Amino acid sequence: MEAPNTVLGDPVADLGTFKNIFAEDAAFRFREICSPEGRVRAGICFFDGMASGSLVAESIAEPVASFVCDGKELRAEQVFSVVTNCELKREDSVEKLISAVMYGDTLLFVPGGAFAVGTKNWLKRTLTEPRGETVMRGPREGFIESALDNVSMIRRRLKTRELRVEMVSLGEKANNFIYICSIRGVADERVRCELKRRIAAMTMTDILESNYIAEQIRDCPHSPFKTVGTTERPDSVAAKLLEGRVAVVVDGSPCVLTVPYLFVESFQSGEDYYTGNIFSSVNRAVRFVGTALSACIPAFYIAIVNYHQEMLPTVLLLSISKARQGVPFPTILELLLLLAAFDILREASLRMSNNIGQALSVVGALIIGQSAVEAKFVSAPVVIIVALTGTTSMLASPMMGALVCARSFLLAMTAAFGLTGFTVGLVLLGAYLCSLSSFGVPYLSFELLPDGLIRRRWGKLRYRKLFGAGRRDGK
Amino acid sequence: MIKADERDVRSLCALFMLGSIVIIGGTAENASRSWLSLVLSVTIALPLLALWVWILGRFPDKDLFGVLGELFGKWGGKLFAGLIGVYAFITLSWTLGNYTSFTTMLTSRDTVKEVPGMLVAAAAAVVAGLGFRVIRGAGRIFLTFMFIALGVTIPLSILSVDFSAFPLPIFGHDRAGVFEGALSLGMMPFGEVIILLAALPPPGRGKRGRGLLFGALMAFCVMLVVFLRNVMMLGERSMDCLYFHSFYALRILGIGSFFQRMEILVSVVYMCSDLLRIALCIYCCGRVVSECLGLPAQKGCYGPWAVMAFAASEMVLINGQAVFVFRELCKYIALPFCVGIPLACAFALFLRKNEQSDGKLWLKS
Amino acid sequence: MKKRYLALAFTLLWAFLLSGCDGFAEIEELIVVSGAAIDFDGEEYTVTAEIIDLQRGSQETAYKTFYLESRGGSISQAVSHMGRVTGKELYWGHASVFVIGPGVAQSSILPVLEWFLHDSLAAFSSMIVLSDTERAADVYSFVSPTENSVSFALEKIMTNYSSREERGSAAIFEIIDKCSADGVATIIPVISGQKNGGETVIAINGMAVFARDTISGIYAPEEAELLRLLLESHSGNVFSADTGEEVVHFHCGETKSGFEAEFENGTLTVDVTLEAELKLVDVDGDAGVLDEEFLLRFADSADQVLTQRAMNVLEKDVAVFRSDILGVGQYFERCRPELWEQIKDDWETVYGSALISLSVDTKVGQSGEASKTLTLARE
Repeated sequence: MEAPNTVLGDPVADLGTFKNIFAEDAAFRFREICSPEGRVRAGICFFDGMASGSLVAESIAEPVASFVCDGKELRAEQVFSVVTNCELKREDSVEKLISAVMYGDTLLFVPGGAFAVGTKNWLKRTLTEPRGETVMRGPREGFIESALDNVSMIRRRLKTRELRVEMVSLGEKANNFIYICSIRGVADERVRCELKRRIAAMTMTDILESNYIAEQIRDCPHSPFKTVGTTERPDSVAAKLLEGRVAVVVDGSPCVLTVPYLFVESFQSGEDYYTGNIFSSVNRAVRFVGTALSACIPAFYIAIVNYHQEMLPTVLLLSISKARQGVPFPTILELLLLLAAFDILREASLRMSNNIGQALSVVGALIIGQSAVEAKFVSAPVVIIVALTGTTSMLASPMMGALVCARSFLLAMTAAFGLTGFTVGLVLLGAYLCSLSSFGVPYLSFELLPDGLIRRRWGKLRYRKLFGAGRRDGK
Repeated sequence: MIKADERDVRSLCALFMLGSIVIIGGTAENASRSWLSLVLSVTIALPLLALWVWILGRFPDKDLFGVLGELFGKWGGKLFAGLIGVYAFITLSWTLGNYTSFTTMLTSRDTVKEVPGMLVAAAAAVVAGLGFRVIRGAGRIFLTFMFIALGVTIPLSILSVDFSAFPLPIFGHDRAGVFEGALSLGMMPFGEVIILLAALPPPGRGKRGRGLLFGALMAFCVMLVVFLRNVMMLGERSMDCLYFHSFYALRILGIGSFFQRMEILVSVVYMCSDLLRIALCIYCCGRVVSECLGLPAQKGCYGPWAVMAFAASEMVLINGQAVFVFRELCKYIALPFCVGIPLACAFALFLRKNEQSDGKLWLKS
Repeated sequence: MKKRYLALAFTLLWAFLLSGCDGFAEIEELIVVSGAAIDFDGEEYTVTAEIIDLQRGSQETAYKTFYLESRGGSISQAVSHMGRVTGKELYWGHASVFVIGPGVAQSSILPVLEWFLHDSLAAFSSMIVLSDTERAADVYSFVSPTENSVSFALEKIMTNYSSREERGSAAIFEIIDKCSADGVATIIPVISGQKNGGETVIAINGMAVFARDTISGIYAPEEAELLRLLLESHSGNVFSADTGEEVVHFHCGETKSGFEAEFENGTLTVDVTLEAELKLVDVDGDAGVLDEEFLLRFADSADQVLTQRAMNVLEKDVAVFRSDILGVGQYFERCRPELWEQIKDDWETVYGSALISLSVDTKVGQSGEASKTLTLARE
């Protein structure tokens, strides 16, 4: 029998409807509240583990039972004065009631209507510092999987009534909630509307993690460069909202999305604003230069060693030449093999448990660093180049994926065409970055940020609306 | 609709003008007096640029094609646009030939010309095809890197320069060559600004004319320093017999015994700038075709045009020497385009102003 | 869409495989030339290249060298003939020092300089030196206490001897400029072997003066030091001056030299000035170095010594070499071009009969770290 679309207004029938719907769900709990004569005056149901049993008892069952114990009938209109819970909403739609109970609310059925009472209390992770965004100085709170808690963390930092939090429900099966946060008067309305339009146009709506949304709403779906920002730090989100961005909080994911996202943001860290501006600027410069080196060093090494040896000092030329004596592989192949080995080690170290991880590091160092060089499989200079490349690639973690692509492209161009290929590759890469945009804002907009690569001191720096004038409106 | 702000005009103007010069490094006529030719070329360049500033200032919201249409009517405007396109194509071919001869002579000696030539043509076509937004963004990046490269090499050069080698007498033995060189520099790069103006979209924030003048000034200062540096490092005689002066001058530079032969590294920056100049020429050709035929931008044609230009340069500029001989002819080829067209525009504008003022008087009376 | 990407991928693959730069070379396969000796017997050039051999290197020595000799009608031809032995072109990008023999110096050094201009791989900042052995290649029989390669050793010697921008340095770009200029001599260091223990080590042995492209003469090492002072190059040479009461050893710090030249009534007069800062090194005798009188004696005698020796150098150039080491002709060309047009064709004759005068102005700069010389407490 199909469930009706609206509640029937009879607690027995309505409770029966939900019992039928969740007949195969062992966590579904229900209770009828009867008058002394045995007539069912009200029914409640909830999911064990999603709702707080004590809250159900204290704020719903007890007051309702007290009310009906005198033989009175509890009508829908009287529920607001009986139930003591602060979160109480009347709902007639069965679908909405299903969503509510599955989200941790308790349903109360009385003659004349049904109510969703807020009793959410599922197990949550404690607040910890995000592992990928640690700081030496600054807040150490990180987002957790509960969207409401995440929103509350943002709200604690932006206690303004202009903070707008819009909820969107996505997916038929996941039925997940996302919250779109922005500050009225600061965020560009066009960006917000465009974001909502893209979210509404998503084809895959059963969202389990924020990246599902990020990949579907980004401007260039096939680009290796991120155009949607992610962060696990509430202070970062608050700062970005103050700059006019829009944030998307996804229930079930500690990563919050922010749009628009610019190239320079990959080199910024929240800590930059909590330490001195000179030190921060140096750190940013290190990140930027290191990332550029990571993309260019292997290709430049090939260009110099295979095409333009005259650039090397004589001593270095002889040293590299001697190191390569007896190595059977061409330099480009050596480089590719070692880069692949580095990526394998990096990936394996992520998958391994902590106990084995240390052994893996030793094995990796011994095998690649020592044995392979001694056995003349690879040469020492290439090991150094790869180590430098790998280390610098971690300076800007949002760029890691893009770096692999950029590096491979430059390597291919240089291996085939020498320095001309390197130059042309750089130009094409630069042109490609210039062609990218994030929600209408050019990706390489250095001037849109008050502190791009140099962090000015706080007296000269203030939050300001960034994305009004910078949008590109067409080619 | 995308617009060209003042800073875009400034950076693209500087880059467009510097694009080839830093690779060539002087005039083909009396190379050791290139700096003097540059100073004298101001007498040609300044009036030319001022003329353009005046003409464009009368149409603050139009691009060059709009201005030509206003001044000469629909078909007259298309005719002049076509002429600009022809000149852009000639410049494109010549620049591609120069770029290719530079790469094959110095950086990739054992490689056939077609490989770097086609690669550069294809890359420039891709950059042009991505639109003005990309060209302007890339321009800002490359100009920054160019100034960084110059900021490193020029101070290093000062340590290696022999100031007593300043060429004397001032005009040397070839006075006529100095003046010819002035004309050459006046036409290329300053006169070639017509190609840049044709490539620019309608003006946005700031004053287009001011950007143009400031960009030209930046290019002038850089070129003057570079030419003087080259002659005082290499000496007069070497300048007269070498092709790519800046390249050889940088070859002498070094920091201790470790960091030497930096000409390869710096040439990467210069080649990027030259590539952008080529992209601008292709973009200009594309705009001309769109304007003349009334079609939207035919990006699919950029690649074939670039290849065609390279093929044309292969037919005419058969070797590196031919590039430099052609360069001496360029100043005469450029005259009708770089000087004739702005003069015609100025004349048309003058007539138009007179007509309007006559009209007003007539109305008044 | 898939077909389009597939077509693009294939096009790129073919483009990479079928094109590419032919200048590709694995670094260990390069035949690295560290330097070369060039001889000319009147008909053919003999080029002897010193090649770095890394394979025969060991723990103690990173590399050894071997030599390849070939002949040809021109230097380029001789160099290309080396490919018959090695199977491929040599790598000249790191060749640092080129030694020319007396045959080249006497015929013309222009072919050597032209080879540098046309072969862009050889560094423009490489150096040229002249050997005073019978053949330039004989230089490679000498040894160096510091390097396995004679060319690398020479490079170090030359780098320490003078900076690249100084006149009298061995840098090729400097030599090209001076050689092709009118009215100035080209000056190239001379190297030879010197006995040192049981070995013959390589050392600088004077300066060769070239008028235009052929050698005019060679200054001995002592004369070469004064020449360097006249050319405002740093000279580390220690001079001796007898003041009458003690013998003072000194060297010159910063020097400034200049000249004024006049050509009147068919006679060239050149007044040369030399200012030198003296640095006291050693005193044979009992002298208080802060003593005013001593300093005056020192300055006067140093004056005399420098004047006499510098004058010898200048007179030798005027009377014997006629090469114009100071660049008087170049001065006329730059500052008085109309006069130069009249006299340039007879410049050798005019310069050869020039009246040279020299005035030396010295001042004592440093007097060492001690205020007195050491004396015994009891005689």
